[in-house]
Amino acid sequence: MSRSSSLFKFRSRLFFNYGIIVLLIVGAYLFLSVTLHKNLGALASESVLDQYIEITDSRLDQLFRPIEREIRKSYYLIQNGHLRKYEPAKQAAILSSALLALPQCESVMMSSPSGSQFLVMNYNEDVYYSKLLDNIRNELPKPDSVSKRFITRDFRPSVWGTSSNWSLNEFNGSVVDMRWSVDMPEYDSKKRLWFLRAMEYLEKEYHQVELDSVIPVMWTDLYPLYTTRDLGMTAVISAITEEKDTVFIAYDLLVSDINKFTEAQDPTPNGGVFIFSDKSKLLGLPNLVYQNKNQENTSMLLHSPEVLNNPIINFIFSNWEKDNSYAGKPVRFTIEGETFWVRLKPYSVGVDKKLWTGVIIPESDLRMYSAGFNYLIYLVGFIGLLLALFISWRIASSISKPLTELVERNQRIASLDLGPGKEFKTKTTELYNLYLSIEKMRIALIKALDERRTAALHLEESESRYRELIQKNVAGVYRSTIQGQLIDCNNAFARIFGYANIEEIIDTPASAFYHSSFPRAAFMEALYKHDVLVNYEARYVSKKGILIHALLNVALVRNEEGEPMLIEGTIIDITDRVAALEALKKSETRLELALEGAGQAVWECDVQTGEGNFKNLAIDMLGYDVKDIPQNFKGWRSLVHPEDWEDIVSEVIIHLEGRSERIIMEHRMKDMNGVWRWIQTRGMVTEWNKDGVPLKATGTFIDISEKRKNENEKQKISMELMHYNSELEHFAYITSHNLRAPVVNLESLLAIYDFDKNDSQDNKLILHKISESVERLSGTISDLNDIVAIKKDKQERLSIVGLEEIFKATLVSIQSQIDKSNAQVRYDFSDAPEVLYVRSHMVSVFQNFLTNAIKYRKPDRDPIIAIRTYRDNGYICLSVKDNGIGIDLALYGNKLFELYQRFHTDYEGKGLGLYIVKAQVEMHGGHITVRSEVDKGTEFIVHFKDSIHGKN
Amino acid sequence: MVKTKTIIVVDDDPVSNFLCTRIVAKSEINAEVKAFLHGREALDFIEQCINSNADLPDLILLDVNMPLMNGWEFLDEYKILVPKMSKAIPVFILSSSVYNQDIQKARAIPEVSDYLIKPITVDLIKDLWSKQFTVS
Repeated sequence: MSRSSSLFKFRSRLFFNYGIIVLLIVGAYLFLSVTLHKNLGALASESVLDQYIEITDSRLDQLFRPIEREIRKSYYLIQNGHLRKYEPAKQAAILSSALLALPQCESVMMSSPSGSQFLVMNYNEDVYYSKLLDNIRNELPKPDSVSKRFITRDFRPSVWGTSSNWSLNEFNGSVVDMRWSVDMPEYDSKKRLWFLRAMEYLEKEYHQVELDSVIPVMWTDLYPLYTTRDLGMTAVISAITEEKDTVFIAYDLLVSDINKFTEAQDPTPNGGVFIFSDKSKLLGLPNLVYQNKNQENTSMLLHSPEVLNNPIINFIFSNWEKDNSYAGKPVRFTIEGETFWVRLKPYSVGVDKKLWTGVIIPESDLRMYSAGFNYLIYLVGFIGLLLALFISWRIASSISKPLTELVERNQRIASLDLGPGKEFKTKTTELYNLYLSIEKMRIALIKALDERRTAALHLEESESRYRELIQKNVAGVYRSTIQGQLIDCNNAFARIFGYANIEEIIDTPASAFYHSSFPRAAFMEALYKHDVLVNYEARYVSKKGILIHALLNVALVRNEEGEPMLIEGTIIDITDRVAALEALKKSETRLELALEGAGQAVWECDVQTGEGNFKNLAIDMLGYDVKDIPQNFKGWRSLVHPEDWEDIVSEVIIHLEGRSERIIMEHRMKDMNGVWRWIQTRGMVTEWNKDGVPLKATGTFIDISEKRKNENEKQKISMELMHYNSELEHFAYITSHNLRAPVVNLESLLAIYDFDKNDSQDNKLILHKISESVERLSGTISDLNDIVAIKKDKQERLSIVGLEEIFKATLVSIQSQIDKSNAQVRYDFSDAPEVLYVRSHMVSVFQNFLTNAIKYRKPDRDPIIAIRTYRDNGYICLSVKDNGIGIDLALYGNKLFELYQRFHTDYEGKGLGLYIVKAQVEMHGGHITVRSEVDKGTEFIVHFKDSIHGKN
Repeated sequence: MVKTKTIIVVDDDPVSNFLCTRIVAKSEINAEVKAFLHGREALDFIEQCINSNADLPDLILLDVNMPLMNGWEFLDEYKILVPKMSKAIPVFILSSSVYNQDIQKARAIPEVSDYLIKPITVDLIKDLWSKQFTVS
């Protein structure tokens, strides 16, 4: 009963496992087919879209490249003067004829850079021609100034004929338009001759131009143009050279040409290929038809101006602006229930202009394309599934059959009865085992005897070897009693301590070798504790009393009871090594001291890891606690002034690349108090690996803050001196002129004075002029007094001056002028009511600016003068703003504050006031700025140092 | 009859202009003086002559220090007009400045015939006139 039940269990388990495998296979199949179904659209669209983009690109190449080449040629010919020998109009004819020879070029247009001159050539089509010109004027987008000028210029297509002084390089203002037709029915013989010569020229020279030598031409853009022709749209390709004095050449392509290249092979029945320019509009998208949600067929013929109202186009463009990742991958989007796939790719034209070629395909088309492929995949999958099921069934059944048999046989064997022979067999086995153990014992005994004999021999040999080893050893080897009495040693040991041989040293007590500093007690204690001491450094004294540094390796030998009996050890003389180390240490310290004395700090750095050491800089120069600043490149960098970082990086890179011998750079670093100090960092790579990769660098720092400060100071002083010098020179110049002028006049007036006729009318006039000149002379001299006075006045007492009080006093003093001019004066000193300045100077500041504002008012409006103060970046600013006639700063700006400068002849004035005010303000560290617009008004801003608030 | 020639004086000092007129009159050289107070006025006058084909002046006496447009600025603009003029007009700087830099600067300008230092005298005018307009 138990037999059949276990068999049943086995079988059911087998079939259970088999069921799970079948379920897994079916699940995998379902999962794979669903995933495949989902992604099939994307896969198909990508390959289909790419394929058609490639086709479009090659077609565009056929379309654009020849034109590009011809434009380059034209430019080259103009630029190199090849055409100069021809009459200007013919030059144009030659160039345009060559371009018209291209099948895709419908007409050619040339213009001067200013757009005042045009030449248009096309194939004999009046309506088209005038329409084209209209379109250029109305429809061209305005991406840059050149084309803007080009289209806004008013040119007249009604003026026909040629002008003899017209050339491609030089335009003199006359308008020229020319028209050619291929069969030239209406042209006179002279023009016909030109044309023939042009053709001749083309044959001989034009086609010989080597394209390699041709300068590239800049393409401005492709523009869509809409004409009334049934073809719908025209593209104009315009080219302009980078130089101003060359021509602007435009070509137009009929949409039929573009379409020839785009529509010839539409990818799918309802898909389309299109081109568009980055900046503006779509150029072509033929034959896209889709069904909108009302199940009407909507044409996507995109040749009309309505193109831009098309929802699909709008979608593409609005997303284009948001995210031009279209170029990277196919994009899927849905409009009015219809899903489309779009893919774009850049296509470059000319030097730097980009066009985009694109493909748009409704998903329904793609499905259709991929449907057959889909079914094939499902079929193959299904066959695979059946195969998998069959194979797994075969495996399961082939395993199940032999296993069943095996189980049954085992059960049969277990049930067999073996009978009485069993006991005999057991006895025999026992005997045999006994024999085996006796034999094993015998072999073990023989082996043990043998081993003993070999060991004895071995012992003898190793003893003599050991002796030899000890004697030959360079290290001293010894054995002593616990008390330190030498028992045995080698020659090396004797020599270390200055003895000739073993016999001489053997009776000397070990204590004789110990240096006074040898801690014998501690040494022994450690030895007792550990039994062995390794690399123990100790000092000894030689036979002649010389200090010996030695390295000791000793072991304590104990007897069987564990009592210490002997000390055995080796000793190495390291006196020289210790001396060398000490010397090195000393020299390092000395170097550091020397550098410190010279105000330098040392640094080193591992170039690869950035780990290093600049302790001396951080501690001694910048005052940090060394544990606050990580000793690596990053730690150093954190202290460097950010403005200097870029220079440092480039300097270091130059050095690491091996282009400089060493790094020398000056930069700022922040010290502990947050002050920027100037540091000169020097250094160089000192270690490279075998491939020349820098490993270690080292160098020095010097604090050059003091030096820098001095340099700056020096520069400031010399600037100041130069300023004063030029001012003095100017002063000398002006005074010599202004003093001399009236004196000269007086001299001449006296010369023509008729002393014989005292009372003549003429003499009276001369006398009047004499008195005028004398007045002027005395005026100049008193001005000079004033000027000299300010130069001396520097010591005058500065005090805190209340602005409003002085301002009001000044107002009173010029009240009559204010009343006469009907001026309105507003003031507001609330932001900065006081300033540290010379009181009397402040009066002249107000006086000068107020009277100036009144003097230079606009005659047709009442003057409004606004005065206010405010604080700005360490200065107190006083602004005086008027609505007067203003000053043309471009013309007079730099002379405004100079001595004896006037800018308006209609007004009185000596040109002295502003000079004095400016000189006074600058004397106390301030300055004056001015803003002005002619006819609008002027604003003077006096900047006083804000010394009251302790800022600079 | 010999035609009366025209001299323009460009100077902001009215006394100087008065003197100039007097001295030209005294030197009996058959010339009339037109005075302008700054460069812009004089330049406008010359441009006007060019445009209306009127007689251009025969001599220019030019001061250096003037408001609005000084002598140097005048010369800069005058240079542009020279190619359009039907005859060459000698330009003399007449200044009270004895500053060497001014004299050097004037000498370096090809349009300037000479640098005269005030005061202007009858002899000076006569001498200058005979050199410029010797009857051939």
